[in-house]
Amino acid sequence: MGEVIRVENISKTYLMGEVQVPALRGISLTVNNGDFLIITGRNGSGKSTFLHQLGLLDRPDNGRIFLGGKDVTDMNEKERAEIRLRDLGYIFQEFALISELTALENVMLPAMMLDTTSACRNRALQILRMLEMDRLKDHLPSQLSGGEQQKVAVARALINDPSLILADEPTANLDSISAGEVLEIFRMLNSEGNHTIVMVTHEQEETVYGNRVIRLSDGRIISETAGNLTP
Amino acid sequence: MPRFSRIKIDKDDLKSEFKKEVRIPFFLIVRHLKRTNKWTLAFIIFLMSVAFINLVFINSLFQGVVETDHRQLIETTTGNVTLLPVEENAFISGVECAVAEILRVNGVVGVSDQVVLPGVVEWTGARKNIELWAVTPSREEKVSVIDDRVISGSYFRSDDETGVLIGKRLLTEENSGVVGDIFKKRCAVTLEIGGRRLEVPIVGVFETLSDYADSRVYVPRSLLEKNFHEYTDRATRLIIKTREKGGEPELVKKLKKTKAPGKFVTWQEASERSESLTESFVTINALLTTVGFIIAAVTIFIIMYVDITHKRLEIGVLRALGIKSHIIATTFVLQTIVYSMFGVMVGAGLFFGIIMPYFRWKPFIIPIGAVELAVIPADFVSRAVAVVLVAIASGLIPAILTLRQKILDEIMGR
Repeated sequence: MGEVIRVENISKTYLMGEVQVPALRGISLTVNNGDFLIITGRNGSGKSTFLHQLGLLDRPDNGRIFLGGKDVTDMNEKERAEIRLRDLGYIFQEFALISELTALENVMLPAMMLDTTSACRNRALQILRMLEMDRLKDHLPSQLSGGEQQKVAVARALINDPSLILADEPTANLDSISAGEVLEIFRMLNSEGNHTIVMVTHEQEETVYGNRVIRLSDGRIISETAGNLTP
Repeated sequence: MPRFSRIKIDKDDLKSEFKKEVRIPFFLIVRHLKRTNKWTLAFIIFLMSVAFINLVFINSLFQGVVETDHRQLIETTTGNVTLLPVEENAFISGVECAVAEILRVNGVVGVSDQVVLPGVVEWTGARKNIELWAVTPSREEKVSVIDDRVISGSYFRSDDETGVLIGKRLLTEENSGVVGDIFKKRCAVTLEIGGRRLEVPIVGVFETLSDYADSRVYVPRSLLEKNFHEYTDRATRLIIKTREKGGEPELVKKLKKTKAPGKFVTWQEASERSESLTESFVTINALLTTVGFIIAAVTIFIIMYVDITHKRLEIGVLRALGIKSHIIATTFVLQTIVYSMFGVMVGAGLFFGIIMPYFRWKPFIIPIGAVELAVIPADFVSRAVAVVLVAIASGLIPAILTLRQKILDEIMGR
């Protein structure tokens, strides 16, 4: 089983006014291909900060991050953007869709860096169809429910066929039915699409979807357990 | 739930690099224009158009002043070319021969021989120093517009009519009330020329709106020559009118080959006042244009800064998705180009459709005449290009400033 993520002793401290607030304190971790890793913990435990480091949206103060065996810690912004585009699919808690684009256009947007518009459109339609969202393809985000918007965000994360999907509390703003649908999509992406998934959640019941569960507290991993999902 | 299968992408099968770089900016701009709030879009374009109009209006106004000054000079004072006496002489002699010679030159449409003398006019008790212009009426009407600018009475009916045509500025508060009665009462003025007093009836009052021209008194040469024989066949200058303005230096070269005595000068050379006025206006115009550019730049920068600042989340999301910064910057630069080009188009429409016709209908009345707006096409185009360039910078700078922030700060609005 190949290594997708290796994190070595990373730490991150934020400055809140004059006060230094440590968010991550020496986290080390390895995620293998096909893992569905759940990161959980209380608010302020550092789980979202940790995911931001993995998603190359932020840089750690210390330590190293390897993605697919490559050290990405000191890469310049252009190289990091290239990895975010090709190898990572990031799903935000607040969906982060572009308000002036339809569902279809939001999904196809990242692929347009790599392929022709018509090819991107076809692929986006195919993914939306898989997520049973094709009937809403021409709707703007404001015309979609939270669950529908999150499905569009998932489709967008999949458009460039990334090996790693990172999801930051993807169900936090969803009702229980929508949350269940989104989690089921993740489960199938992991089990049938062979995508490696790292998901942050504070819902205890969602930990059953992962094959590994780590718990953070005060910026440290305090426990790691096996989830219910069989990798 | 459908079953998933990973979609295989041939990531090497890419179109040309350029197409790839501009595809996303165009994609986003088209959608933005289609779906953004139409009132906001209209407001932004309107502000851009105002910035453009501000630049064009100032320039057109000054250009209008300069053109009016030049036109008035040519039409009332200097003609296109003036023949002046050589420096040691006060007069040109052999006027009739000179006129005949000049009229033979190709491009000349009229020549007027003038004697311009200082004098005094007395009328209804008011006494004023004036310039007396003795002209041959039939020749003068071919080179100047005085005959068309008579507002009361009439122009001289024949070359040997006895009468004066007075400029409107010579009407004082005391006598302007009698203008309507001038002709009913057969009013006359007393002219004092070279110490001799002549009582001459008024034939008309003219108004060119040029204070300089409107302070003159015209009399037929025949009247002057009858009383002062020394002016017979002599003139202080000859005014030459051409078919079109612009070819004066070439015409002067041709005229110099004639036997006409004196020194031919273009209207620019004949009027030092006009040259210094033009230079002053060019300087003021340059200063105000610079200020206009700064105002336009600041206005457009604020518009784009506010617009781009409102899109921090979108910029952050695009970056998080892996869209390269320079492509995001290109998107905002193209957006400002589109805004500014629409602004220029709307501005041009408002300028040519409303502002210029308005000032044609109601020109500015200033001491040199009635000033309309005048546009030099090259200036207009250069200002349009300048607005677009300023807009590009105004889009690029806030975009770069935003792109230098942390992605998370943009997404989380910190």
